[in-house]
Amino acid sequence: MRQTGMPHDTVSTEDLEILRRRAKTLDRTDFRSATNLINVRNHQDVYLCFRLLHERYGLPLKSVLEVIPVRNIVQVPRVPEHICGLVRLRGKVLTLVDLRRFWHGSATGYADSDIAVLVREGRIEVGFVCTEVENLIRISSEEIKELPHNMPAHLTAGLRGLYERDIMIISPSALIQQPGFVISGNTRK
Amino acid sequence: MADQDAFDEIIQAFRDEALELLNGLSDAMLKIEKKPSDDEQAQLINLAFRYAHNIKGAAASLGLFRVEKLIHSLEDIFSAVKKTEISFSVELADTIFSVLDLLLTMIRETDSNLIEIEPQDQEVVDTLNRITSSEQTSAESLEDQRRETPKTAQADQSQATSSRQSNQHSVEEEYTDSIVRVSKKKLDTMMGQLGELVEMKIRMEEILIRITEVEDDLRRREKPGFELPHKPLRQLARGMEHDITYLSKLLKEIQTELLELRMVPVHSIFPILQRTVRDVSRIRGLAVDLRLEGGQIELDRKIVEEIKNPLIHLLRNAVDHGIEPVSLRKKLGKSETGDIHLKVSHRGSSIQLEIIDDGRGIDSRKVYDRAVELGMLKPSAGIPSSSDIYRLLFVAGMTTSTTTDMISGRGVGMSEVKKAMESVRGSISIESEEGKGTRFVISLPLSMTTDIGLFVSTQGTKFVIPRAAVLQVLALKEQKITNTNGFSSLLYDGIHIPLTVLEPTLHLRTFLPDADRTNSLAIVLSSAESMAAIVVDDVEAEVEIVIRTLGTFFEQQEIISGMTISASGDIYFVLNPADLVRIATTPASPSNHVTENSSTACINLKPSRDTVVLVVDDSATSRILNQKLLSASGFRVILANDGRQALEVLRNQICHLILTDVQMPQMDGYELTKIVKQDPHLASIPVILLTALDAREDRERGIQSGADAYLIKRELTQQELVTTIEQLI
Repeated sequence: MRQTGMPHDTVSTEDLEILRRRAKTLDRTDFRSATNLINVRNHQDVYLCFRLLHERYGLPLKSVLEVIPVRNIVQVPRVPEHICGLVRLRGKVLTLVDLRRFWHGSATGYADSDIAVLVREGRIEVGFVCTEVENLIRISSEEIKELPHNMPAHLTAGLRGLYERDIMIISPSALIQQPGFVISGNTRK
Repeated sequence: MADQDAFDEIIQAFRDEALELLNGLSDAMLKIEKKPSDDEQAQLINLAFRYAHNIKGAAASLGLFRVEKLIHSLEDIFSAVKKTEISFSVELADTIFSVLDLLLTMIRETDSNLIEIEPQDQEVVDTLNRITSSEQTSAESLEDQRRETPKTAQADQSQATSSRQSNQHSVEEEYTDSIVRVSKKKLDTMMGQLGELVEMKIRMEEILIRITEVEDDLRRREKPGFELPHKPLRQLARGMEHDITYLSKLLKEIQTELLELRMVPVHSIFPILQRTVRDVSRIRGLAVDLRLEGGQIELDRKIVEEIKNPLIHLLRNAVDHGIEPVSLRKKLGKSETGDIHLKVSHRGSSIQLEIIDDGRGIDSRKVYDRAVELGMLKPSAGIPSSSDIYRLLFVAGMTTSTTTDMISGRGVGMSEVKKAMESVRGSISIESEEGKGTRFVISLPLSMTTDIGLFVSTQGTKFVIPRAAVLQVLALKEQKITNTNGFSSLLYDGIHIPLTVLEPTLHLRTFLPDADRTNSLAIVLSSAESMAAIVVDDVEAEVEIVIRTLGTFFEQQEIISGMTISASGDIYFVLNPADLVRIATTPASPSNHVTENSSTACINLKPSRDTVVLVVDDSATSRILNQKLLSASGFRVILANDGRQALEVLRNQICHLILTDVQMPQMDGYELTKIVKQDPHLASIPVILLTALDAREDRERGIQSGADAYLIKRELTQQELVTTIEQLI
């Protein structure tokens, strides 16, 4: 981490110090993510827009890892209804969530879907099943409107706002903080 | 001589730990430098603070005051950043890094005589002091600084010239050590990828079989003068077979090696255990000898980490509560020096860890009295056997010591010890003889990742149960089974143990309450404190399995301790026997009076309410669900299938509340309510109608029948149900 890779008898301490500082500065600039560069230029974020049955959602692209195929879902015993189950992908086992069931409960029935949007937020990776991935859209934060005030609180949990008429913008970090979304041991008590 | 060796080991352990923590600390700093969000920064600062705090604690316990002081200043900085008294700047980071480098050198140079070297770079120390004093909150530490600084400066003069050079050198050496730390997650990923390779191999084997079939076919169709290319095909198949055999061998080897990467010898925690016993006995003025045996046995690193603190707790207890003063020991005819023996040994597929002391043993009468005082036992139930009494020691809130001091009465309790053992799929039990000593037996799996599992199937779904927890598999039809009010028990070894069906416990949708179970099996499970039997259709195989976690989405999932992936790529859940037993034995209803004579029934491990709720429902699932909901909230539950049966129960038993379904055969909920409300003896009992019918006229009919509350099943939460009940009684 803090190695110079040079024998220090040929480099003076001062030079080393300069090299170290330079390395740190370089390390801080994040060239890897293209969306970051776009952000800097336009103050816009890129969202992945997907449809789940008749509802449309937008996810910040920076939290999206990939869109994955959904096959052979294994149901997990004793979990809330919004957890569809587990699927395998390249040696990993991923959890799939049906967002409609999280917001609307069991009455909605299962969405029949064969793809999921894989999202990472902090240490948590989760796939949101969806009917169709529609497109990528660029939205500035002013364009995200507040959700209607008469919407019940449990239906707006984890949502950041509304874009255009019907695209609900999801805040993955807020969603994961929602009580009961992630399975914690507290159900035991 | 041996003492010095032990001491060297302690120092080495401290060095390892401190260096790891320093690494973590510098990692956290590097992340903060990348300008994370405020939330993330706060988390990282907290993390850094915790690392610093841990190093400080370790240094202080060894008397390394210079290290402690430096780290303390770092803590000051972190808490100032946390309180946003100072902001995190590049300059500040530079200083922190320099301090970390200084600490690295100091910790590395600390020798076995605990002679600390001075901080080698006075400039850094001065900068640090300047920062901490500018935001100083406590006058006391300011005072410390004034006293300390000139002295340090003076002592440092001679070494100052060579300081930078040697400092730099040691830093590099540390980071290029030959040991590589690999994160558990990476190992898990590799395990997963290896699993997929194994699957590929299996697919290749299937293809090989197809090729052989085609070859056979071709050979059969061949006629003289009409040649088909079956020979080259055969050669290809041979070659492929060869490769697959070699691949299998390789895969097996890699798998074994990967598993071994996670193992560490138990003696890696011996030094801290020695230290604990030494410290406690010194404070208490006792003479104690800790004998350690079997340290070379290797365990999963995670298990070793998890059991460290519980072991410290047990040893501390053994010294503090067990070993008598020298004078008393002499009087009792015991050796002057108390003996504590920690023995690690292999026991089949698990590891057994025993802590045996020759002290005063556990006074079961005292524990019993205390349990009665705390309401865990009813005095009327008679005195249980001492092994049942000892089990009470693991219940949260149980303590016999009335004073709290540095050694006992704080930190992790026995219930935490048990929880920690169960979290690594182990178990713990106590044996004790008054006047002779106490013996704790801890059973642990060899590895967190592998285990021998029993594949069981029920109603078409397969699960894995760790073999270590299985006492016996019995044919259900040959057993003596008692059914009372939906609560079943099985006579095993002269004791009635609860018998439950797996599907409703797991909330499986395939559950058929009336399924024919004549050919089913009962699996007798034991956990640390209790036994229970579960009903399954079949036991398919006993296989060595690799256990994986359910992933980050599940912080902790009840009943399921992980999963395993079969060679063909199917996911099977590994059940947690401790949870299964706990759910099966949850004190449910007075209906388990069949077990009242047994020793387990009179111990009510969960302080329960005295309220008895009669649950009336024709659906077994709903009955069991409501029973679980209510008993989880401490209510005692009696079950009835319909209105008529409910009335019968009401005639014979005292009930405080009726929770009834509406639509039932024989007598429905409305009718039951009417009869109850018209009966002068029963009218005072509140009735809750619990139903799927939510139309207005249904509600009105419910109220007209005299029900006290009308709840809709679909919308009901446990909390609502409990609140409603509490309001009515």
